Order: sequence, then C-alpha cells, then structure tokens
Amino acid sequence: MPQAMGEFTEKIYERFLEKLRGDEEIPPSLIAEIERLKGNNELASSATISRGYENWEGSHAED
Amino acid sequence: MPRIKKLHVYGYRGITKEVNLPLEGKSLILFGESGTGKSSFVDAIEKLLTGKVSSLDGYLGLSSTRHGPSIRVLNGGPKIEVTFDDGSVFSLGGSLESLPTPIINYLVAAKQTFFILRRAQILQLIDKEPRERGDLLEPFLPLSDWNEIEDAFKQSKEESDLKAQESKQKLESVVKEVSGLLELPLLPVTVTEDALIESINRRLSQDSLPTINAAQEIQGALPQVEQELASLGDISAHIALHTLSEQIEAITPNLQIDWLAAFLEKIRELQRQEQMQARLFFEEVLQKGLEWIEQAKLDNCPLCEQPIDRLVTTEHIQRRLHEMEILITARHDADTIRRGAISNLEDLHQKLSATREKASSVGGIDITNLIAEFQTWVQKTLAVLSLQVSDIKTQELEETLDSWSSYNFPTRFAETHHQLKEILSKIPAPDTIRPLLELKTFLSDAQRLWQEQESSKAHCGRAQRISQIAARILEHAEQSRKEEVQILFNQIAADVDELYIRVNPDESHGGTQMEVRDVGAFGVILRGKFYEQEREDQRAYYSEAHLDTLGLCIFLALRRWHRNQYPEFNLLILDDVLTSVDAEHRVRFTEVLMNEFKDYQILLTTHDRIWFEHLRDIQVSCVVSQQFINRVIHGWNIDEGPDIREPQEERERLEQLIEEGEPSQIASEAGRLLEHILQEMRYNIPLAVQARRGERYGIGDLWPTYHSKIKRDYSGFYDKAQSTLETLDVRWELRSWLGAHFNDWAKGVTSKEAQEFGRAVANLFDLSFCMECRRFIQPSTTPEGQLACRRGHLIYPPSGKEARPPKDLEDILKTTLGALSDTRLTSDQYLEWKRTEIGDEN
Repeated sequence: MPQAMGEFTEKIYERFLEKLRGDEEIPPSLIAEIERLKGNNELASSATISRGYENWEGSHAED
Repeated sequence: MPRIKKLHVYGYRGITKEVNLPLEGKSLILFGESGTGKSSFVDAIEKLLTGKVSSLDGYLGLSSTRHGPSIRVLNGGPKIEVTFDDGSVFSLGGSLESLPTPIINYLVAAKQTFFILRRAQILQLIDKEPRERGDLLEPFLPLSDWNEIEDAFKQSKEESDLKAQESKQKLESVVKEVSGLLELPLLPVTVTEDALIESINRRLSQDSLPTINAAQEIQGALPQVEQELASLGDISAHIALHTLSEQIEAITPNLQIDWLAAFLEKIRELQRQEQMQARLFFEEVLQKGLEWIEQAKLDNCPLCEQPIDRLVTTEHIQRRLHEMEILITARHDADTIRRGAISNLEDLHQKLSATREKASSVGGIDITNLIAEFQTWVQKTLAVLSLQVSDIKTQELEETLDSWSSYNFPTRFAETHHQLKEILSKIPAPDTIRPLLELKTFLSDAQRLWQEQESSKAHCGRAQRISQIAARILEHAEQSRKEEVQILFNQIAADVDELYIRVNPDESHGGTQMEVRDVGAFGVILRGKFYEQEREDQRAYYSEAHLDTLGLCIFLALRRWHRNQYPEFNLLILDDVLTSVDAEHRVRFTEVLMNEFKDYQILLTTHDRIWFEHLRDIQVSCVVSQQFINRVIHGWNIDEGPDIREPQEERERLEQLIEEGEPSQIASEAGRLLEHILQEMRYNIPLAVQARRGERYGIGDLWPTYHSKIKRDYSGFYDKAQSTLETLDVRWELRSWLGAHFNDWAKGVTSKEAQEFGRAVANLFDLSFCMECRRFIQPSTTPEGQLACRRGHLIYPPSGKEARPPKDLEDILKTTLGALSDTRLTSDQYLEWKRTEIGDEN
C-alpha cells in the first residue's frame, strides 16, 4: 500500500486499535509494534507483520 | 468540476458512422424508439470509461472487445472519445498522462464504481442471494486498502500456525530421542530435569564417579571421565576408531526407509481423493450452516435464503463435511510425514558430515566415498520433499526409491561397521576402556539432547504464543471491518429509505436495512418494512413497481455515497430504467432525480415518446430545464447507425442542397426531413396508421393519412399549406426513387423536380416547426381544428374562425393537457408546473 490510507480504511483501523486495546490478551508492546508498522505504511505486508510478531515475542514477551 | 461536452463515437455497437452527441456539459435526455441505438451510446461511454460493457462482459461467450465493434466497420476499428468542458480529450485506449488532474481523478473514479444502471440491472440488487449481492455492492465500498491489510494479517497468521506446528513436531522428535537415550517411557510431555539427573546418576554410580544435582553439572562430569581414560595411557587410536564406529552405528537406524515407500503410497492415495473431489468445500460455512439449520429448525437456508428440505440438506452437508475431513486428514498426514522426513534427513546429513570428517582422520579405513554417495542421495531426496504435498510428483519419489535400491547402502554400511569392529578388536586395550568410552558418549549425548529439548521447548512456546495472538488479531481485524461496513450500510440504507419514501409517499413501506452477514464470505441481507411486518424480505410483499423503485433508490443512494468519496466524478446514467414503473411513481422518481441529483451530469434514455415529453415538462417544474438537452434519435439502420440530427439542422442542410446538390442528394435529404415531420405529427395530431412491428413507419405509411387528416380536420393549416401539400402529394415518392431505393424511374427525374420536392418539404417544415418553442405545432383544445405551437407563435385557426392564441396559464394547460392524460397527475399538480414554467420562461 504505497499511499496513506483512505478515510474509510482509517475508520476501520481506529476501530481495530480500539478492539486491540480492549483485549487483555493483546500486550501493549504488540499494539505499539502494529502502530509502528502502520506509521511506516507496512501493515499490508505479511512479512513485516510476521517480523513484527517475532520482534515483539523476542523483546517484549514479559508483557 | 469536469463535465462531458461531447461524445464522439465511430464503429461501436449500433453506431456505424461517426456520430457526435453534443452534451455541452449538460444533462441529456435521449429518446429513441426501441432498436434505434440509445444503448449503443451508453455502451460506448461505459467502454471508454471502464474498459468493459456490463451487458456483454461477464456473459459466457460475450466480450466487449469482440462483440463491441460495429459489424459494419471493417477498417480502423472503433473510435470512442469524450471531450470535456475544459477541452481535454480522452479516447479509447488513450493514456491519462497528459490530462489535467481533475480529469484524471474523474477517469480514475469512473473505474472504481458503477454509475450506469440498465433496465435489466434494476432488480439485481434485490433479487440476489446475499453473497451475490455482496459481490455487486463490494465495488462501491472503498475496501481495497483494508483488504490488503486484512490479507496480510491472515497470511501472517497462517505462517505462524505453520511455524507452531513445525516447532511442535521438532520438540516431539527431540523428546523421543531423549527418552530413548535415558531409557524412559515415551510420554506426551517433555523429559523433566529430575528424570534426566536420576538416569545420569545411575550411570555415574556404576563407575563410582561423583553424582550431579542439576542438568548444568553434566559438563562438569565429562572431565572426570576423560581423566579416568587418560590414566589408562595412550588410547587415542582406539578412541578415534571407537567414535567412528559409534557414528556409523548411529547412522544405521536411518538406513531403514520404509517411511519413503509409505509416503509414496500416501501421496498416491491423496491425489486419487483430490481427483474425486471436483469441488471445493467451505468447511466453516458448512459447519455454521449446519448449526443454524439444526438449532433454529430453519426451512430456508440461512446462507442463500432459498427454501430447503432440512433433513436432506443436513444429511448432505454432513456427508460433505465427512469427505472434507478425510481429505484434510490425508493431506495433513502426508505433510506431517514430509516435514518429519525433512527434519530427519537434515539431521542425518549433519551426522554424515561429522562421520566423514572423523573417517578422514582415521587411517586404514576409507569410507568417505560411501558417505559422500549417501549424502548425495539425501540431498536429492530433500529436494523432492521440499515441495508442497500437492506439488510432489510420484514419479520423482519412485526414482528416489529405485536409486536407494541400487546404492545398496544398508549392506555397505553394515560391512564397513563390521570391518571397524574387527580392527578395534585387534588393538590391545584395557578392559575398563569400553565402559568409560560408552559413559563419555552417553554424557555428551545427554547434554546435547537436553539442551536441544530445552531450546525446542522454548521455541515451541514462542511459536504457539505468536500463533494464538495472530489469530486473535486477525479476528479483531475482520470484526472491525464488518462493523464499520455495517455502519456505512446503515447510512446508505437510511438514504435509500429517504429516497424510497419520497417516491412512494403515504405507503406503509420503507425501513430498508442492509445487514452484513456475520459468517462466511462477504454477503449482504436486504430487509424492509411492509405495514406491520418489520424486517422482511421485500420480495415477499412488494409489487413489481415498488421493487423497481427500491432497486432504483438503492442505486442512487450508492451512487451518491460514492460521489461523496470522489466528488469530481459526476456522471449518472440511467438506461431506459423507468419502463416498468407506472406513471405516478415515474414522475415522483424523476422529480427526486432532478432535484436531488441536479449537480450530476445525467444521461437518461427512454423509448417512450409520451414520457419523453413529460420529462421535458418535469425539467421545467424542477427549474432545471437550462441544465438539460433533449435529443431524439429519429431512426436507425445498419449502414447509417442512429440518426440524431435535429430537424432544423436537416432544414439547413436541405436548403444548401437545393442550391447546389444532385437530384438524388436533394431527394434523400428532403425525404429524411419529411419523415421526421411526419413522425412528430403522428404523435401530435395524432395519426391512425396500421400497426407495424417495431413501430417503424416510413413516409409511405404516414403521408396519405397525414394529408387526408389535415385536409379534413385542420382547414386553416390546409389553406396555408395547400400548394405545398399538393406538391408533396405528387412528389413524396421521389424519396423512394432517388433517395432510398434508386431505380430506373429515377433516371428521368430532373433537378427541377427534385428541387420542387425539396422546397415543398422545407415549406412544410417552416409551417409546422416553431423555432421559438422548438416544437412542432399541435391541436389546440379550442377552437376545434386549430393547430398552434405552445406559445402561439405559429397559429392556424380553422377557416372562418378567429385565432385563439394561449393567453394565460389555463390556455397553455388546455393546449397540452390531452397529452398528459395518462400520467394520473392531478390538474392541481399540472397547473403548478405550468405556473413555474411560465415564471421560468419569463
């Protein structure tokens, strides 16, 4: 996804974030990792998401 | 905001010759009888702006590329071009590069939605199953960005599931090895540190060595064993040979490849089953469907809403699920074998490399070639197994098995091992050396395997955590999308409802709801209110006209929502969509269209002549007549295509030809104009003619009736036009002789005769067509026998009577009231329109 997300996608993303934040099973450090990927427009790549999961597990598993 | 100024088409669909459809940036009402090429203009615009034609593409065996071009265009191919009001031109196959940004935005938006509604499509949004409705609605939703994100989360979840499964298999394999070494029963849990220490201490005690208290102390126990061995003198040659012998012994279990034969059989069976399964089954959908049907005791399928026999359906679904289960299990089993084999072969390859290294350092025995051959076989087998189960070829597996037989590895390794043992037995060594060497190997293996188990356990735990979290995140992503789409649908449904109620006031309908289905693929359920019945499928209760107007309102609401996202794109095309709607609803719908969508460039086609006239009136009543152009397609034939010339344009052309044209040209043009005059007067007077299929009447059909009716009923006009009418009564057949169907009689026609025919037609046009009102004369209500234009610029009272031009609104109303009698409008409504019209014109 080369450009910034459209308005509707932003709405879904905000709702998605809200759900993640409200889910006790999702560690805050992972949400931060997802936000970082979104900030870099990398959320549409499964490779970067998988790497994000690995990074989170490797460094923030204590959450 | 870009608007289309002109549409230029050549050689596409029913448009044979070059045609310019002038829009001048305005909306267009295009009237033409059936088969005159209205939809060809719609097809041409759709092809140009979207690259396809919905009435062709998508149907089996049809395509806009193959069937779009006119069958009469042999060279040069079709040409479609729009000129925008800023002068920009976009042609079929053209590039966007040099166009201004607003035009690019316009053209990009045109590709992202559907802006054309054809008559056949009206009910598509209603009369579909939820899944198909979802497919139809999806282009309207700006979901492509989010779909990419959701797909990435989904793919990532699948990858993490796979990794979790692999790490679990690896852990199971290590646990099996540790349990074997420590001679413990194989349990579905990892070996505990206590069990490890107990087993090691038992061995250490046998050799009277100090015991250990923790796994990390194994490393400390090894030097004690080495110290004991060192006290026995130089035993390096013995140790080297002993180690090599052990390594080869460790390879021995790998020399059984029954698993490969079993795997080959599994793959064969799987491929056979997959061939049997011609269809893909959606397990989750089937599971949910089954639950619903059984729990809710449904008589209609919750997925497709069709009536079902519950027992037969559940039995059918269960059978399908069972077949699915078998197939999935078989695929899973084969994959488990494949992954296990890869892991074992990779370990074996490492063991072989270590043995090869050791063998090269031990003199007297050359087994490096044997190991190298074995490694080659292992690598080739790994290459075959590296493919996904579905891609593995049985032939390659068979070749691997055959090569195994020809290498004869088990026998060769057994012979080598035997040789080593013989050499070892000849080297003198103390009796205590063997148990000490075995203890050393045991401790080394125990330490290595314990570390491997702990590392695999940690890795497996990580992979499982990632897999669980990835599944949860994906669930939130999907749910967020569904909820946001539902909010959007609620807004659109409210808009549909508002439009629908305006078209159908004082009727207990409405309450339209669009619900995103919560299972399976994207599907949309449509419901509405019918009197006290809430949330019902509208098809159960609504009349055809109500369903039509609902379909139209859904389309308009979606179009309006899309326009909010892409304001530059303002085109809205309705191709003959009001045919099956009764006059009352039709008028209300058009009012809504002209009031609510006045900032769109609308192209509306109709084949209904009377309705075309009404549309012109509604433009006036909605005070949008300045924004509309009303054009008539006068006729169509395969060689010429649609004839969209205005009568006054034909009049000018005829004048020119009378001065300098050939007789055949004059006759052709005069005949065409005469035909147009008669077609218009046929509706205005009206003329009774014998019905023809397709309502296509020529001069021969219309002239005799027209002439006699004028002579009988409209004496004032007859007196004015008598000489013209008499000339035409003699000359009208020149059109057939010279213009349309040239024959031998035509050779004798002189220029003078052709000019006489041309002048008579021109005169009749001047007497019949008001350049001010831009309409043909029609009968006045009073006095009987008077013909006049709407505002009285042209007026022909009957002989002996005074002309009565319309003086006030009521007069104008009376002049044209007859034509509107079948619209079921009240006089009040109509009078109000006319009041506005007069106000507008003044």
